[in-house]
Amino acid sequence: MKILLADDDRVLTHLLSTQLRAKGAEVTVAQDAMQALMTAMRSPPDVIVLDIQMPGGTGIEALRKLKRSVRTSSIPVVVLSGSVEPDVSGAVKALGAVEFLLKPVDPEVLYEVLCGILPPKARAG
Amino acid sequence: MHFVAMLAFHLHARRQMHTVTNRAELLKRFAEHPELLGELAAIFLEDAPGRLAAVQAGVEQRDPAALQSAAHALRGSAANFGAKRVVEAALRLELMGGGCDLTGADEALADMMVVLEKLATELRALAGAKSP
Repeated sequence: MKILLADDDRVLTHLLSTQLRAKGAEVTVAQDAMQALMTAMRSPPDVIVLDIQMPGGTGIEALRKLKRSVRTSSIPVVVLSGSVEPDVSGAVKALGAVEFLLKPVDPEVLYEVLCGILPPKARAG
Repeated sequence: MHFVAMLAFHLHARRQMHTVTNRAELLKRFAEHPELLGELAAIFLEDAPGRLAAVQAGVEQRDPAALQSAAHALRGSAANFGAKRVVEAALRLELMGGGCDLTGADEALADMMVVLEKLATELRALAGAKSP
């Protein structure tokens, strides 16, 4: 399972990447939206875990760009957010996200979500 | 003996009231990976001064958007440790920024700094105890 994890919170990325790697996943971390986009274009992962509230509000724009590009549009995107705004889940799903998780994120819950999204072949890889 | 046990329980309850993390809960959560908790605490302590400075700048410069973004980032990071009082204090500032009304922001910042310092002290103890 190749995961691109995009979040500016280093505590969360260390927590999630450590726990997901322990389960056999290959995790690449991006600390901002631009880095996430470039990494996804250069080396498309099986799934992208994207914080939509990175500095500058660039996460939503990154989601739009990922879904517009032929190179990345088919990659499932799981959105993370600590937003207190209502119906963020509906808004990001309308933009193409397959799942929405409210922070703080439990690594076990995220892993279960990723396993539910990805086909068995990608899970094993 | 009964009195000693009661006193110990009372002191423990009082200590919990004044802490911003639930140490027992955190240690239980990371029981299988105790070194990871120390690593996470160390990362938080490394990043916290910069995150706090961004919040302070937002308040001092009366910049609602910057305050909202900085307080949101600090809130998210503190939430990883279940630090509810820090999360609530940061959320107060985040909502002020989001609502473009910074009335009382200086007091809210002062309140947040108090609980953030408590969190830093508690995490320093965890990082010191759990770092390799």
